[in-house]
Amino acid sequence: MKKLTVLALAAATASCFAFNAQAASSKGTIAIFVNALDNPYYAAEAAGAKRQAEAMGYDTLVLAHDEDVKKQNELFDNAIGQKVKGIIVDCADSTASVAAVQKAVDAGIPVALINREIVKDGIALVQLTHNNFQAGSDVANRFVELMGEKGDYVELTCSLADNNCVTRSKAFHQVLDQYPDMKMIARQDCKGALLPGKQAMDSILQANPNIKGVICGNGPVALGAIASLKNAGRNDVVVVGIDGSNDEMASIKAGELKATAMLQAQELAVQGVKAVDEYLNNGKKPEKERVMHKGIFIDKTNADRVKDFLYQ
Amino acid sequence: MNNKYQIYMLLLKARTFIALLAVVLFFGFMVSNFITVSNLLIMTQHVAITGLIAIGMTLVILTAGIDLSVGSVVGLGGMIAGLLLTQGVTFGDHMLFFSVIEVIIIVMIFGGLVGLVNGVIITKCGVAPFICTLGMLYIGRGAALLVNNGSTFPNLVGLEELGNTGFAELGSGTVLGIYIPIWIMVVMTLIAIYITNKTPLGRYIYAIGSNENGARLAGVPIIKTKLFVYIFSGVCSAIVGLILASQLLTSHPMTGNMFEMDAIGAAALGGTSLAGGRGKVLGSIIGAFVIVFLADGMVMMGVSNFWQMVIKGMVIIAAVIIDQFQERLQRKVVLMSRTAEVTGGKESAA
Repeated sequence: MKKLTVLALAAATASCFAFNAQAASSKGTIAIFVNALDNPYYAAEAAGAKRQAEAMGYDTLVLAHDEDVKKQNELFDNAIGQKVKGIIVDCADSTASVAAVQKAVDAGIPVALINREIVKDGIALVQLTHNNFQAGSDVANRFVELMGEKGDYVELTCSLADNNCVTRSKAFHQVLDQYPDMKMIARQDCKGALLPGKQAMDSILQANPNIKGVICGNGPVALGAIASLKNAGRNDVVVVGIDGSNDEMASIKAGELKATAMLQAQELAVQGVKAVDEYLNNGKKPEKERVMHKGIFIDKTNADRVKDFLYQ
Repeated sequence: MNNKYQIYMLLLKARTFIALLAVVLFFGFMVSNFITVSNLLIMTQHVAITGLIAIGMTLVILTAGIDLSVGSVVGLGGMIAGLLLTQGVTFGDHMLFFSVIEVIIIVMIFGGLVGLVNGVIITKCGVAPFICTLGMLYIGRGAALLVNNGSTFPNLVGLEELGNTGFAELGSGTVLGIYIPIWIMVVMTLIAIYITNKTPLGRYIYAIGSNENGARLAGVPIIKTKLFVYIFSGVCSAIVGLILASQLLTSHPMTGNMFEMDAIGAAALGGTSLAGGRGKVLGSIIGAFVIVFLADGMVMMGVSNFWQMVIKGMVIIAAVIIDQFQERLQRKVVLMSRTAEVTGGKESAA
């Protein structure tokens, strides 16, 4: 029995070495760090980067930092220790991530930031973000149209601890506050998730049965609000959101979610990998460090063109 | 003197209920539509989620244990329900689909199995409950994410041809005008109260929590009793997973994140001592009412989510501080009544 275990261990070790040898023969590893792999947005982002990097002949290492700056720091340390070729990261915090990125760059590893920026210029190879302001404005404009420029509405923000969410909310109000007949009678933060979205909507609907619309900071919150409205038998309330996941597309096709803006998660990831590859091969940095990508407005007419945050 | 203490004691004993009354009255005045039948029903439907987990948690805590894995079991249970409803089980070329009732039973059994594993590791391997269930928290959450690679199972309405429609009824349906989750909570509460108050098993649970070694020497079946409480807690969590998946018509792998904390908070608020041996299931349910009514009331009032967290924390700490008062006062009252007996006896003798 003992011999068997030893044999198995030996085999396992051998296969590990074999794996390492194989890795050495490729173009090296690109590390991809995203926030969380359970959220369809981040999953699509990671998948897009992974696919592109592997197509270019790199090995990939996909890990999540769960929006935890300390964990992100450890991931960076590991990546530097492993001597990866490049890092693609959707960072945990715009200010607290600067040091980690700097550390990697000092070690000679190019870092491409996707989705979230850091506050300092000149460290990262490239910083690719979504135009959350434009996406928010587009959605808000359609919301105004659907509401007929008047009536009580509710804003469910995703997570005000996240900069992108704050930007979206600002964009909403830039548009909505121009219409004096549209009144925001409740505003609640729903932690960007389905269940808090549903439960907040349950309570708000009880306090204010006369609402006509709900504008949501991200997809899961919008779907949570829809679940609540459905249970209450309210088909008359207009719901819009931002994100663009497959679940939202299904909801749009079913006529429940009226509009959303798709953030080009995969496109950003692909561009990030390409920039790192270009730098590794030719030593060329992109012309502009900060590039914003447009959010694509989605309603019933074009919902079937979206799959896994890719617009075709 | 004695009477005064008795009144204090009564007030302290009923403090969770008084807190609930205070919450209801405060929001009743502050928020229009707070005290309406439909709102009370909606809020109680929310209570059912925290309450059901708190029932199982209370039994575990009474044995001086803790079950941190409940939130993960909620998530994993929901994901299994989603998997069975949308994709069935594949055997070679055959796909087997289950009716909604069968799915519910399978998921409940699964929750019980997770509890059984917890119980076996704790009793047979001597691992501290905190550590064992902490490990299970990660295993369960990881497994929930693995089921569909981090994605949701959306649109759990079932298909007419497969005969698995009607899942929405479990979470959103009503019987006699009251939501089914509320009925489930009531039934589970009655079962747990019956067990703790009327059966030898209930006595064992309290005995183990008060003094495990003493209980062992007295012949209490420690292992069986502990296995029971962890299985019961697992089943309660699985039911909550089913209810949430049904209400949202979606299984999301992160559902139930941090639920263990709400359940522990509800138990503490209801006067259950984390040291074990002291507490009541009904107290935990009232605790759950306080936590949820407070949260929903603040949402209706438009209080920021960040403040809500702060206030929830303060209420839980305040509850435990009052709990300490009660314990001290209780000792005092017992002492006083004994001295009264002694001196009273002397007088009558003279």
